[in-house]
Amino acid sequence: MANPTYTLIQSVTLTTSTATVTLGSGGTIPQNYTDLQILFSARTDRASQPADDLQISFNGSTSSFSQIRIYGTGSGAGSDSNYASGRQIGITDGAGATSNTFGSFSLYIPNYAGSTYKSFSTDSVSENNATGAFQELSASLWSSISAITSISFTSTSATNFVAYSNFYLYGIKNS
Amino acid sequence: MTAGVTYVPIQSVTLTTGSSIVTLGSGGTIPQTYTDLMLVAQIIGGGVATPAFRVGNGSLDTASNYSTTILSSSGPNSYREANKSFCSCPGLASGIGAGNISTLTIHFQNYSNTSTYKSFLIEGGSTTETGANGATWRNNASINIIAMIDYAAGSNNYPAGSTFTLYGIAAA
Repeated sequence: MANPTYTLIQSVTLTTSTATVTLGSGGTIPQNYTDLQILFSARTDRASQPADDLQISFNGSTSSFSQIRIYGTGSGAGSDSNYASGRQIGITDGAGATSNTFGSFSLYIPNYAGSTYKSFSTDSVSENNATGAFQELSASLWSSISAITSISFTSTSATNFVAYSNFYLYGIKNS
Repeated sequence: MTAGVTYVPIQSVTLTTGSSIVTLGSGGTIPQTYTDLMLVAQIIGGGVATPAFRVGNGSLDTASNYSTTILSSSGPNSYREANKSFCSCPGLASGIGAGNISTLTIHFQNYSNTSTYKSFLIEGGSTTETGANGATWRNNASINIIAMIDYAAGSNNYPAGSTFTLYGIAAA
């Protein structure tokens, strides 16, 4: 029988407002898994807005990203591609959302340590006890053959993740 | 109490040559001891445009027993494919090159029960199409074989380098 997998590599729970959250800071994500999955619950201090867009970077790089997404706004739906220079990965709560609610987010990266371009997909929702609650699915590509050794999250509107936002990085093996 | 073993890799396939079908649990060998199954696929561009899959018990069901409800970034659009011989997945546009890669996760809930139809959740896609599909296999049989196929009836291959891993997920 194969060995069990799905191992927690790192968890981060913010105690103060933070502009950038990095998992594997300094390039420390282990390279001995097959896939990575990140789950997080987050909220930003984006003023008066129920939601905030999120961006990603790998290994400190903000280039060579492309992306397509489909989203719902609570009152409509749409799709677009390469929003925020292709680094858009999803949505979470802003300061205008119902108090004490946090958005939920899942990111899956297969073959993160390989030498091909890196594809990944995300699934995110904001929480808000009002019409303006958002959902987003995206598929992305980082056109780099570098192994992913660190992953950073920021908000597109340059706001901060607030305290109690938490981030979990899991490693998944295929054997 | 110690939790049971969960999220166990059952089978992993990395293609070394192009193939129009990728079978997991060939001959009906997927263990029946988990609660759910999850298939993770990374599909290199340049071959199959719209991935699809079939399931079965002992052998793949090729009859029109599948229905898929699709939410797609293409449009965007939502529609249903009823009474098909496969479940379709968010895909890669025809003609794109190997530099574009698709990520798919497919969840097979309660796959081993023998009293209900089986439901699936498919998410992911490529930078040409993303979305989420819900699907049903109208059969009470347990699932012990799964195959990724080409939506266009086998006319295109999954290119070399594409990876497919099936995980077993236990509820307890």
